[in-house]
Amino acid sequence: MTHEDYKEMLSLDALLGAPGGGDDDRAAREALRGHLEACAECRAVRAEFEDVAAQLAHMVAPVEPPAELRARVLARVREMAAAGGDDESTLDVDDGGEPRVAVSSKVLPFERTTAGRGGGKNEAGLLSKSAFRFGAIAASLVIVALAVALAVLWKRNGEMRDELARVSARADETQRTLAGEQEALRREREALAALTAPDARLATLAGMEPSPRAHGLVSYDPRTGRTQILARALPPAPAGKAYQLWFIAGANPPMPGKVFTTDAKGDAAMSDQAPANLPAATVFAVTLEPAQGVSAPTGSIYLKGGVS
Amino acid sequence: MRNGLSVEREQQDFAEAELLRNIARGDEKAFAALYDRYSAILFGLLLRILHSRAEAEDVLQEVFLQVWRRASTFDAARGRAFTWLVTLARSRAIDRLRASNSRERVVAQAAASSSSSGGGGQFEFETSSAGDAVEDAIRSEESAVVRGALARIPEEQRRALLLAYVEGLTQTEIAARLQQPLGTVKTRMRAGMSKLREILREKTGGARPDL
Repeated sequence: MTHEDYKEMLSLDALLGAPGGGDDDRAAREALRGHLEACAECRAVRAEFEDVAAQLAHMVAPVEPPAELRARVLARVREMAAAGGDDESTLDVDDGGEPRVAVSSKVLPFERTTAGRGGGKNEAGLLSKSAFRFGAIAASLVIVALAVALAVLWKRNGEMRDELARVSARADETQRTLAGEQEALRREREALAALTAPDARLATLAGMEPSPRAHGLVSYDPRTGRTQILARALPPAPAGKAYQLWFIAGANPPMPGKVFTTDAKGDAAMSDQAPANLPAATVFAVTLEPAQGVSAPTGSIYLKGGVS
Repeated sequence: MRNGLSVEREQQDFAEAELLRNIARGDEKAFAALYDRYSAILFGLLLRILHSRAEAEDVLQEVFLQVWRRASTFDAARGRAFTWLVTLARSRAIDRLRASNSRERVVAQAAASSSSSGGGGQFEFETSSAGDAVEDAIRSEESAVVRGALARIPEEQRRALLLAYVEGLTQTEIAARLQQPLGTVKTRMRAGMSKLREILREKTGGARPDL
C-alpha cells in the first residue's frame, strides 16, 4: 500500500472508528494505524476528518442523563482525587481493554447500616428507627436532587445570560465603529464634492508663527458659499479653546466662519457655509479663539493663505 | 477567511482545552463544568448507539471517569476537545456493542424503528428517537451549522454517514440496511465526508488551509 492508498482511506477510517470484526477492510485499516504513526500529513488529514465526523454527534438530540448519575460520577471523581488520583486498580478500564465495570455506588449506604444492625434485642424499635432514618435519608436525597437540578438550571441560565451580554456588547461595539466610519466617510465625501465642484476655488493655507508645521487647504465656491477646510498638523487646542475659520475679502474686516477642533494627530476636516452678505473671499485664515467662537478675531493666526 | 463563527469556535475550543488542563491538575469544578457541558450530547449519542438506557448510563460514567484519569493525555495541538470526547464516547459504546453480542438485536431494533417510521426517516432533522430530548435552546449554534451542512449533501450520502457514525453500524451492516452493494456505500461515505469537510471549512473559516 502506498501513501496515496492510505490517504484515501482516512475519511472512512475517521468516520467508522476502530475496525471491527465485520469490516471487509479490517486488515488494511489496521495497517493504516502503522502508517499514521509514521506520516504526519496523514495524521493531520485524519484529525480533520475526525473533527468533521465528531460534529455528526450534533445530529442526535441531546438527552439529559439522570441527576443521580452526575452525583455518582462526581462522587467517584472526588474519591479518586482523595486517593491521589491514581487508583487504577479499582477502576474499570484501560484504553482499548474490555470494560471490567464495577462502580457499585448504586448501593446506598443506609442499606448496609440497617443490615448490620438487624437481629438485635429490640428489633421493633430498631425497625422504626431505621424506618425513620430511611425516611429522613430519602427526604434528604430528594432535597439534594432538587438542589442539583436547581444548580444546573441556575448555571445554564447564568451561562446564557453571559453569552447574551457578550453578544450584545459586541453588537454595540460594531455599531459604534460603524457609526464612526460612516461619519468619517460622510465628511470625506463632502470634502471631495467640495474640492471637485466646478466653481470651487482652492486656497492653500500655510502654517504661521505658532505652528509652522501646520498646513491646510480651503475649497470655496463663491456662488453658493460652500466651503470646506482640511487642516493638518495643528497643535491640539487648549481646553476652552478652538480653531476658527475666517473669510477675508479685500480690505473688509474678516468675517467669522465656524469653529473646529482637531483629532489626536492634529488633523481636521470641516464644512462651512460662507456668510451671505460677503463679497467673494480671497483670503482665509484660522485663529485660536474661545471655544464658542467670536465675531472678530482675537487670537494668534495659525493658518493663512489666499486663493491661487 | 475568518468569520464570527470561527472566532467563537476558537474561543470555545480554547475554553474547553483550558477545562481539560485544569482537570488534568485535579480540578473537580472544571470536571463538573465539562460534565455539565457535554453529558447531554454524549448521552443522546450513547442512547442512539446502544439502544439501552442502562448501558448508556454505564458507558457515560466510564467515559467521564476516563476523562478524569486521562485529561493529561489530551493535546490541544492535535485536535479539539469536543472531538476527543465524542470519539472517546463513541468508541466505548461501539466496543460495548461488539463485546455484548447484542449486535443482531440492535441492528434488528434499528431496522424495525426505521421501517416503522416509514422506511427512511430515522434521521429527520430535529427529531429524537430517544424521547425526552432536551429543549432546543441548549443546542449550540454549531449544531445548526452541521445540520445546514448536512442538508447540502445528497440524501443517500447523508444517510450512510449517519448510520455509520451515529448508529455505529459497520460498513457491511450499512450496505444491508440500505440494500446497496458495499462498494457503493463506501463511495457514498467517502464522498459525503469530503463534501461535509468542504462545507464545514467554509462555514468555520477553514481551520487547516494547508491540507
